[in-house]
Amino acid sequence: MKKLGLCLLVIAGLSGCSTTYLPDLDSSTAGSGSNTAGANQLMQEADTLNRQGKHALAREKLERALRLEKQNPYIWFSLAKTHEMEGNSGQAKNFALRAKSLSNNAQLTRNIDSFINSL
Amino acid sequence: MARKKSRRRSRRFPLRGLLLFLIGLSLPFGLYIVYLDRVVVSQFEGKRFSIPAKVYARPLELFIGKELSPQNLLAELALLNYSQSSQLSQAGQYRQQMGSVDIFIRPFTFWDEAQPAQKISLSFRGDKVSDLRSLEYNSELSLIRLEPQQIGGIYPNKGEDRELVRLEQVPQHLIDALIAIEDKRFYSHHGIDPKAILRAVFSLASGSRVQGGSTITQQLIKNFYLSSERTLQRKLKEMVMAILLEAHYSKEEILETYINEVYFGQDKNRAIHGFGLASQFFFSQSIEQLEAQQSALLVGMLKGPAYYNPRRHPERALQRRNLVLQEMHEQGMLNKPAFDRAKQKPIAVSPLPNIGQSPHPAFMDLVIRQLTRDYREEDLRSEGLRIFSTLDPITQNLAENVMQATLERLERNNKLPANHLEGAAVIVNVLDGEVEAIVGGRKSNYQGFNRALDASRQVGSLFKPAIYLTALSQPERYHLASVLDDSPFIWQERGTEDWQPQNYDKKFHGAVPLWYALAKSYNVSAARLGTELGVANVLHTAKQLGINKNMPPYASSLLGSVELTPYEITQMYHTIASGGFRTPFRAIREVTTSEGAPLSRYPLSVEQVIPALPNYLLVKALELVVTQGTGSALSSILPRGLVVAGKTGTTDGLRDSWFSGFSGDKVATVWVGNDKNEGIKLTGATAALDVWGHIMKDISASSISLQEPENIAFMKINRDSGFIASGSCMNTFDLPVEKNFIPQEARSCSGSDPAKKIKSWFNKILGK
Repeated sequence: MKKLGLCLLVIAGLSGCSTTYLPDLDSSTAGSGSNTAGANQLMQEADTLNRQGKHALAREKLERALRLEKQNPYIWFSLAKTHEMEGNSGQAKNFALRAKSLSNNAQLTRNIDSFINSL
Repeated sequence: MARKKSRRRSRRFPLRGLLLFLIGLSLPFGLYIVYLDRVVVSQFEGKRFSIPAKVYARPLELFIGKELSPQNLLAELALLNYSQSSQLSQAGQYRQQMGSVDIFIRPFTFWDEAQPAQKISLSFRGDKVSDLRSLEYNSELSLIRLEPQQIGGIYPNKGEDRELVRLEQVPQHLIDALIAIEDKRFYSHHGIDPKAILRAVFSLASGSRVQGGSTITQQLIKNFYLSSERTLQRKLKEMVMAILLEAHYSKEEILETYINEVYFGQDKNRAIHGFGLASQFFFSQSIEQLEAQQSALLVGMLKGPAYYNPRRHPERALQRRNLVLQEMHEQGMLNKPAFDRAKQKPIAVSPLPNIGQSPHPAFMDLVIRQLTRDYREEDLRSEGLRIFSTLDPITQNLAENVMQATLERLERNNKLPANHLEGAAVIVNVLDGEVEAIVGGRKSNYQGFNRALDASRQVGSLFKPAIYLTALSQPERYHLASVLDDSPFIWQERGTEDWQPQNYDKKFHGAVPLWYALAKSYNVSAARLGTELGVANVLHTAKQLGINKNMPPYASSLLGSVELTPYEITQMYHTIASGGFRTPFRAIREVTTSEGAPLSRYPLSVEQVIPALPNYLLVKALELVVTQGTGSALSSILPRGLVVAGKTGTTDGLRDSWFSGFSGDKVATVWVGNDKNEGIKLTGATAALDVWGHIMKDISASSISLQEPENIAFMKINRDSGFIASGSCMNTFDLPVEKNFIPQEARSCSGSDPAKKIKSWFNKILGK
């Protein structure tokens, strides 16, 4: 019981320390897949801009994040979602497919599939 | 009486005549003054200067985890004219320590935000940034950019270049130096200085040419409105216009315009104007950062920009600078200690920046072509636009150096005449289609024929992936180990001559597995396959991959009689490299006004044009080209374990040598040939591949790591025959295949190629 408590404490502590940004995805999609604080920061800024309706600026941030982590499917997916917010479903689908082609996370792939189906 | 009248008339006539004469004279003079006034005002009110567009390379992003060697960082700092200093006392300096580099970054307004000057420290673990900190706040930084290198400008027709500055930006000591040496009574006169006029009159009376003594306002008038001829008429006009200018505008406005107007000499075809650009050109510093002795040097140059050029004539420039400092001191603008300190400082100009004529004209050419689709040439030459390109200067410089060194070595080793070979290269980022480098010829810094963009040449076997991709897109008919027929073949088509393709080795190879036919670049089996599939279908695949040019619908197109430029064929390989997603190439990211307001963005766009599975199979086949086929010489160039894919191409008469291929992050095409279309006695595998391999090695390319698509299974391939292995075979390797179409056509382990059978037998004997 003590061990279990300790484990929970460690897990809670670890998750408290984590600053990993969750892009606007299901909470089950663990993390932004980002390895760098730089890309994380840009994704956060893009998220804020998207919430403010400044989608073109958000795409600018995400494209910059992509230059830092080109293989990161979460950034491609965020770009897809931004295109969708702008009403550009064609590009949204293509970016989502690109994200899927780079994804090795089953949950993320499912999320992308349902996003594509919803377009 | 009549006499009296006459006498009166004769007495009055001179007065009246004189009056009429004066009125007659003053009317046109008055009209002329009004005309000059309009001239002065109209030009001063409108746009005073044409500002060239500036083209920048990509800014280097710095963040923890970035793949960057300390050497490449130092190379970037050298390109940006950073100087080494243990003090880091001003922006534009760096210091190198054990395992870290500290940099005082210059301020810069990017397209999305302004970044202030700041001191940072980078630590490295191997070729990776392991720590990034602010030295001022001793805190970790998540992301920062170095200002981008200016790689060129688009200049007004006169070639004038300038960087506009506001008077508030100009240090007081620069203004003091100007007043001290050029126009002591600037703030008290009304445009002309009577003493200067007298001096001009005396010099005229004494027979010498009209000269000297112009006020700052007069100099501005001369530079701005008039020619440089030295005549009394021009001098008078200049004086009148100076008075008019002073009547309309404040001293501050006149001084600011003068500071932006003055000429500092030529940089090849570019004329350096204004103190703003001069401080960048001579000191690699912004005008705000100038010290008193630097201001004095620049002010001293105005008397004769070529004569007092500090790079060519440092002694003269030093004497002149000290004279300016002396004047400043004597006029109470510089106290004794400051004067003594300034006088002791060396000239210390920075190395000549390579901006006037772009160091990378082939890339600039691409940028200008893309820009002229959206902007008028006049605006590009005059509105001071800031263009942020995608050029990676480190990759560009490496590619240029490799091209030159490899062509020289190839000429030497193959006993070819010097300068017989020409070359071109295009390097693009796989994931976002940003063009990182363009090499337009072996002498890359010469503006001229841009082979990368304009040399349309037959592409030979570089076209074959379009055939194989068309086949692999029909998994019910073809897979990587399908049996192809490489026996004699004649193609007859109405309206064309019979076409009888030959293999490079002039042999026929019978039944060959599909992957092997591509790896060995067999022409006959490829031609048979292409015609089976239908020429139109193969050309359609090529179009999907990004070839926009009209291709002749003849069978010979299958073997690369199509003429394409290196840039065009790179687009085709880029689509393959990026998993079947076509991404139009971009050489520009953003365009802003001179103040930094966004004008246009060139956003990333992607389109899936080839399904993931056949594209994946093709990539695997192109990897086999490199490991087992015509590209195998790369193994002696590239680091062990680096997975790359590509294809060689050679045209008839050995006229063109091609290699196009990709790593995980870069797509590159290299062409080697001759401008006169003469044979070069080299194949794709012996020339272009050599250049390609060394570029990829030097830019530290990463391995291909495509995700396996759904519905993939693997089939065992007999290493000896290359065909599908039966269950008993031991010497096998795996090739991917679509899960729903796993072939059942296994062959015996002995294979089909007699030569291979013998080799296999020997291997068994030798226990390999």
